[in-house]
Amino acid sequence: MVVGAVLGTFSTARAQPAPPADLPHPAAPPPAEPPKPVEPPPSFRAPPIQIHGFVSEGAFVSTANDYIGNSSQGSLELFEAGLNVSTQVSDKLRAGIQLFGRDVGQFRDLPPRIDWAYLDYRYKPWLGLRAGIIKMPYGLYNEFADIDAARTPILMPQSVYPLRNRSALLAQTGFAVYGYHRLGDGALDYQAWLGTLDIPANALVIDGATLDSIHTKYITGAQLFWRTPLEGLRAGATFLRTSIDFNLTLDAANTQALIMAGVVPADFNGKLVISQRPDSLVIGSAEYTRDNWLFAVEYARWLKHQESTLGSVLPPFDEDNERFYLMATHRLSPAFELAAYYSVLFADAGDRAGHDKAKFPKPYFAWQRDASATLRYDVNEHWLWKLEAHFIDGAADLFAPAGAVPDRFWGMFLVKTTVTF
Amino acid sequence: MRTILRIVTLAMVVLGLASASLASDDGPGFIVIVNPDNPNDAVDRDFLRDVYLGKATEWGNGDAVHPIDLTERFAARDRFTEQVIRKTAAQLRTYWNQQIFSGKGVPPPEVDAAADVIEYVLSNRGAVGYLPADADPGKAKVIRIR
Repeated sequence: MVVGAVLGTFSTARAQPAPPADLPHPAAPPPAEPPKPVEPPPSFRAPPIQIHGFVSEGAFVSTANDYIGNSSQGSLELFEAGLNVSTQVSDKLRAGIQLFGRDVGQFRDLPPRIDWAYLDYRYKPWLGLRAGIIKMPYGLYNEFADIDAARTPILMPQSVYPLRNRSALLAQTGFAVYGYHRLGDGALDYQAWLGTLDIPANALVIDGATLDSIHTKYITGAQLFWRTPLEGLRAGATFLRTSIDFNLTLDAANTQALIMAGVVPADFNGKLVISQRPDSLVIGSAEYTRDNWLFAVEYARWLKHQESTLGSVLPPFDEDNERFYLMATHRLSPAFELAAYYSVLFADAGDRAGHDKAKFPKPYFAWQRDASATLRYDVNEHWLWKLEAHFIDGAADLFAPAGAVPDRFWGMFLVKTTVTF
Repeated sequence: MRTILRIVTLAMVVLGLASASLASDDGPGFIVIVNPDNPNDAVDRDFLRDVYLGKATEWGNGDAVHPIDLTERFAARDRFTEQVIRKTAAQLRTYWNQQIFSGKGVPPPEVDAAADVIEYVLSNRGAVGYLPADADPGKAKVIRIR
């Protein structure tokens, strides 16, 4: 209902003139230009060092269930900040670093961590090399998912860009090759990378245990996007594969319970390693922009094989998540933009309806469907506000403690403001 | 939920068509200039777009290409953005926010006067810039867009 109502306002949109078929078009009169400054400053030289940053703060509340943080009580923990410094060392070599900090519900990167820091040598447009801490390409928007000013929604579709996996998908430390190649009326954008993940131990909250450390053997992947001959349409795919060990210590009560049950030796110290070998993520993506419209659709499968050092308690299993969304944004005016998306997560692609009672105590634990609408207001080039509403069916992506029974239907509302420079 | 999706899809298709039907056929309102030593007499529009998006970094002869931009107060900037880069001003800002904060690049330097564009182009062999259509390019070389 709300999505439909929001879309109703789209009819007031200002249409942008489409470009002429041939350029230049000498018959048209030139547009009026502003008067020239009396003494134009020689400001064209790019500064040798560029500094950019952003600061965001917001709030969120949900009608039921705790999502991201303590949302059912309302929360002001929606803070993000970044600061980067970069320089063009030569025509082919760039270097830079960005610090990123956040306090978003239960996800905390304070003091700030290094978001990216690398050398970028672009030998030719079709071949470049990056080395260092490099943002992770995944789908259309993962490399920019932390940048509020670079997107319309406050929360990107959580099925594909989940905050709970943000630390794992943020960046990799290693190498990447990339390039861009014109292809007739289109072009190819491609990247491939190999490295490791640096995931802080506070990236995950585990009920009944303490996460001591996270160790990745490797992460590798590749991404290819085709800018098609149809103006504004690009499509592509990303593949990621990683191997991760989670080193845990069970809390005293759980350790004692296992000893008493006789499933572990009497001298069991509670140490446990859970290994995901491998995690494989594959996603197909398409985006179409025309005038003030943007349409995006992405479909992903996350395949996980998990085993542990306590096979009798946590036997090996395989998991296959299905994740997709459709999104549209529309710029109503220079100041206002609307976005709407419908995002779906199925925890088990083979059991979308949640028939397996052992895995899903309630059927709706098997899915999470999220219909969202956002209004963005750009006060000026550097300052923006956003309002956002979510109408959610299901609980597959909730951080519900063991034994809790979340509501099936719930809503979430967010407000956020961001300054960039 | 299916009904809502159908409404969303229908609304977008109808409104998308409405936007397309309102398209105008105005001229470009700008000229493209390069250094007089640049051997090119014409430039491919897609190449120019790639240059201004940081995708293309070299001319055909291997020289580094250095684009220069006008500030947003110029109407020629809007026209260049729409017709060559094929983005709206808001989309272009979003694009550069994505590039800047992922470390992939920074936008071309901006100047607030046509004279500064000419000075930059004349002092830099690999430079390319654009001017309002009625501006005098001076000694800079005007090239066609293919």
